Amino acid sequence: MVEKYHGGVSSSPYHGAFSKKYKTRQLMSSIPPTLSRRKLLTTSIMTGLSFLSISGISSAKQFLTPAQAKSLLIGKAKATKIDIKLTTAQAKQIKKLSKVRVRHKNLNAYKTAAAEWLIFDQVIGKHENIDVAFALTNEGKVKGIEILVYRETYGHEIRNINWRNQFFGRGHEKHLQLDQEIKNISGATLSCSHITDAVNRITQTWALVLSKK
Amino acid sequence: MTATLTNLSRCKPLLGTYVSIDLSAELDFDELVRISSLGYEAITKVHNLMSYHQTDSQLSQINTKAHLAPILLHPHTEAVINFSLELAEKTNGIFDPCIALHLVKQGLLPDYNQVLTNHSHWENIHIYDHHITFSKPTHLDLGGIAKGYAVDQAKAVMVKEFIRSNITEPHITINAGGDLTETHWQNRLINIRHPRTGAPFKKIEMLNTALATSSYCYQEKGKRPIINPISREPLNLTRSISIFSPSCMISDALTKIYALAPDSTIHQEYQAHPVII
Repeated sequence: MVEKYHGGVSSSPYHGAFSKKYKTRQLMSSIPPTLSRRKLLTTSIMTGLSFLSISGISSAKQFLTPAQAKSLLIGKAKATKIDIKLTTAQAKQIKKLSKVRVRHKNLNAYKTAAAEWLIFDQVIGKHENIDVAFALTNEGKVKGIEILVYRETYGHEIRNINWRNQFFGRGHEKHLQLDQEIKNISGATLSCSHITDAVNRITQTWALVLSKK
Repeated sequence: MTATLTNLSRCKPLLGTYVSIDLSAELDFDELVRISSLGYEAITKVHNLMSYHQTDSQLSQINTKAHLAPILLHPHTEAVINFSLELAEKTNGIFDPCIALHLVKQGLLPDYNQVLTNHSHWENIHIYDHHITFSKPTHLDLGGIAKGYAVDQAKAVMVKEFIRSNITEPHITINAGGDLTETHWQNRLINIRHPRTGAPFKKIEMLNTALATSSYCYQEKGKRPIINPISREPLNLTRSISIFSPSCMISDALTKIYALAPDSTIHQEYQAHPVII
């Protein structure tokens, strides 16, 4: 188990790979030295924003690997990856039934011979970005849930979906290390209601799409 | 058994929050998984008995029927209610597990169209021969204490299982949304969240095996889950209250007492250490 912290966008080795802000900054750096006053002002604002971003904090804690979660949730059963891309109409219907927005139309889903499903999903909450594995029975009931990676983000970046998205699907090893010796945090009870929302979304996805595959 | 140290970290959504279990011992990985599953089963058992949100929990049964007839208590439920009553008596009602009405009003507990009464009070609760009765309709909510008890139970079950496997000093850490316990807590640092932003804020050394913290850092604006049982007004908590003690149940309960009465000395009776930030 490893827990690591880093100090925001500027220190992230992955900053920019998916971020509009990064592309803008790249563009700014290509401006020749003879700047107009307006461009100079814009550059100053961008620089200020990048300093602000340093105040952001993110932490990540990795739990089971996907392979370990698979073994725990569906045992030794062989699971086949099924390529599923939800249509816009399906996504709308799932949102209507579950009252939860569908953020990713491409599903990372595996089916066993017994028609059980293993789904690797991503949940985004107020401060947290979570990779989670759900197992469903052949009747679409939740068989088990394992959190795989739990990330927290603080500072102004929590409002920047692009910034948060860059960490999805990435392991804890991508976060810079500040306080490895401190493995636990205490503060107040954080509600897991976003997982409940995800369960509603996934069980509706099963009813509408997976059960017919 | 393996000769090398094996580590396992798991996390599951339970008790309304995220519950992580970290184990380290000279055992196979699969054996650690099995033992951690026993820990999660123990937590699930407490969750199913004492959840206010589940209409089929024993707590919901008590709330709807205990004013009509005695109800036989599960030993876990009895232990938690007895400790709640002990604290209520020792604090002259500063700790009162019967303030559910005020949490329902704020939307912090579900409204099942239950008959909520202003007469709900800890002195209405009577336990005799493992049965509970209410002298008046009362709404018991064990949310301020059951999570800590669940963590203690999980730890006890896993320690017992490790001993069966000839591991006498396993490394166990359980963290249920900040209510946590560590077997090897000496010289360990812990991060306390900022009481307003929730970001990791202050590093302090563990002072005992169990720790719980109360603050409003995750609360929606306007929602205040700690109620003053005397005035029946929600507490406007701006600080973070952490309690180190020998058990998570003690820590969990004492955070509410110190939020309401920072000058209390009750920690001395339970070998507890309050840290207020």
